[in-house]
Amino acid sequence: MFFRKEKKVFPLMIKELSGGPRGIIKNMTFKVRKRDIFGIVGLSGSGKTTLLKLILGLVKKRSGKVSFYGRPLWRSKKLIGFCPQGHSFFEELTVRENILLFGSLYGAKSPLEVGRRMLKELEMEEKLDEPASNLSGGQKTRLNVILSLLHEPKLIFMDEPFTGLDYYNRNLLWNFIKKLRRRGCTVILTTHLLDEAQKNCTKLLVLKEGKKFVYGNVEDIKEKVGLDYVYEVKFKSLSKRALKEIIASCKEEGIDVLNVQIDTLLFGVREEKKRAFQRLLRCYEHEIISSRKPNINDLFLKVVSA
Amino acid sequence: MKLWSLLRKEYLLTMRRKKFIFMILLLPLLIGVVYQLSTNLQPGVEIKVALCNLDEESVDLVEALKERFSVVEVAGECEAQIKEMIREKEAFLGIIIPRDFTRKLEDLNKSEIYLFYDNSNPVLASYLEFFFQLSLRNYENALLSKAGEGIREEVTKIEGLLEAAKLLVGLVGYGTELMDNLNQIQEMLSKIKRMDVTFITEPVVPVKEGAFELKNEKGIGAAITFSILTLFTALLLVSSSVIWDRERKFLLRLRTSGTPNLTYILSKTLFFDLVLTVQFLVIFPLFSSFSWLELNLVSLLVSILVVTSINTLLGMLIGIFSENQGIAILLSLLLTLPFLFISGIFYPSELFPQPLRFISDVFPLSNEMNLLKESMAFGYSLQELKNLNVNLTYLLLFFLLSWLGLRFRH
Repeated sequence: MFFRKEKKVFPLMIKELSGGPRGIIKNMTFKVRKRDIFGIVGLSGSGKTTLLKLILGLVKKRSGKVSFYGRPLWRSKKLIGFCPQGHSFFEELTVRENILLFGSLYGAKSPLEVGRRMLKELEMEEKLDEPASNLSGGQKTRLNVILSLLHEPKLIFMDEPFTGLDYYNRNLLWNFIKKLRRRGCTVILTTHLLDEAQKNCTKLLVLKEGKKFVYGNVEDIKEKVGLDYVYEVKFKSLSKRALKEIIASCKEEGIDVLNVQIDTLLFGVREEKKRAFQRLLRCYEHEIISSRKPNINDLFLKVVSA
Repeated sequence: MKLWSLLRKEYLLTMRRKKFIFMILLLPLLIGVVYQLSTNLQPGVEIKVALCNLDEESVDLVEALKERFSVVEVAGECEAQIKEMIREKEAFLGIIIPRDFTRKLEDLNKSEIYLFYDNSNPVLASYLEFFFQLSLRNYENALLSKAGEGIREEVTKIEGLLEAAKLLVGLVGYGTELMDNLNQIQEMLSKIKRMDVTFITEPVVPVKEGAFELKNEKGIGAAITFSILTLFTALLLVSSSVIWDRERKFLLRLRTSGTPNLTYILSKTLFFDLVLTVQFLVIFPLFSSFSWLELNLVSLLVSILVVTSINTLLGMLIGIFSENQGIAILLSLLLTLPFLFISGIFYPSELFPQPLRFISDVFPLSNEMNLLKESMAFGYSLQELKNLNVNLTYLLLFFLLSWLGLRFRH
């Protein structure tokens, strides 16, 4: 009874999944809640795309289990969609021809109808009979997303869907993704746009070198990462020796140096280390440029520097 | 439904790539015309020959040479001049007729003639020698007829003298033994008179007759041309199309959409079978005659389908295992060019040394050619096609390899 309920709440469950080229993904376990917009973030090469491909069975796994509503994911192919990175359609064909081709492959019942609706939602309905090669970069990216959704899947995987999009188009696509969520679709996407992921994703998974570093919503991550304040400090005439001293002292005191840019350092400080941090600053001539609550970028820097 | 969509996609993409259509239609025409021209041994240009004639009496020989070649006469330091002309490509061949050439022949002695050729181009040299021999044939025959005529005249004179001698022997009455000897000499002389003098140069004349009954003689050429054409076209087009599919991440989409690899392979095979059949229809008029009507259409269709499918699948394998288009082209050339030489087109594979013959026998091109000959030239029925099974084995093998390749590499 409990398991049945859990399957309903968490349709996608990943358990101890390992594999990929040179075994980059190690022992990955997490659950995705129904209607989640689940963001996978991490540095380039941290294994985001490989993780998606592993889940989808596109690369060989070494161990682990992926289940969708309690069944192996590959048995539910009609319920899932995958939007690869870049433009994975035929530019020689028109938008309509691409929609019909991909709709047929995914077994969509009325691909043209769904395609038209989505084109309208993504502000490119007039492009239906244009050759895909005539579309702008942003329109091509949007078409790429649409072609993965023609069969109206319950779970959609998107690999870097915002690459190459300007702010307006990104916003348009985020709104579209939110609409998908409202229609009952669960979205799993990889991105390196941390601010936007923080704003729009319901859950985040931060990857570091193929391992799950932190996982949860932004508040969970803040708590797990352990940062209360972020200070941007500019030092006057900071020598290499002085910089080394500051970094060493911070390490000793449990203060995080998140970023170093010549003479400007970004510090992550927990509440209980605030006094120690102020003591440290007194030893050097400095100017505090900003002090604020940490955002996702700061958390990410902490993850990377850890 | 998915198969239909994939076929439609291949069709639309091919139609939108104008250069593809151009290649599909132009290549068969080009190969067909080149094949027709290369099998016709008549040269397509005037063959320039530098001639130095030191023998005033060899008028007939010069005339014979002028009939076949464009003769440029040289005088003076002949040898040096002729060699220079060949080096400068002003003449393909140089000939020096020596001073006593005709006299020697008239005395019924062998006579030398000097040929100069471009030894940096052995193929051209051997063809020129062949054409030279050909131009000499009429002259030699005339020479022999003239010699035969002379011999017959002499023999007639001797026969006259012999008749007179026999009359004398009869009058004097020296006995029968001498008369018998004279009769024998007369018989021998009449044998010499009847002799065909060309017997001296060509004592045995082979009369050729093929062991096979060809229903369509032009089918042999069609089979050779079509098998080379499909191999080239399929390897290049199909491997490119698979690589494009991969680069557009279409193969990823196929896998996530649950489209079976078999459907994908089948769609490519069917579509490119059709494209290659169109190519057959393009070259068909070059080899057409009414004898095509006598062929077995079912076996013709089956053999074309089997051969095009084998080559399509081979192209597919190249596409699957090549990282990019450049490697695919290199692999295609690697598979076509060397095997073109050992497939028996330029030199009979039956006469190769054993290891090379084994490779030739194992490579699909030779077997494809044999199957097409059976259906296009011999007009065999489906049951009579001896090479069908071996080709079907290739078809199954390549189908399986393509399926495994797609499964494990993509």
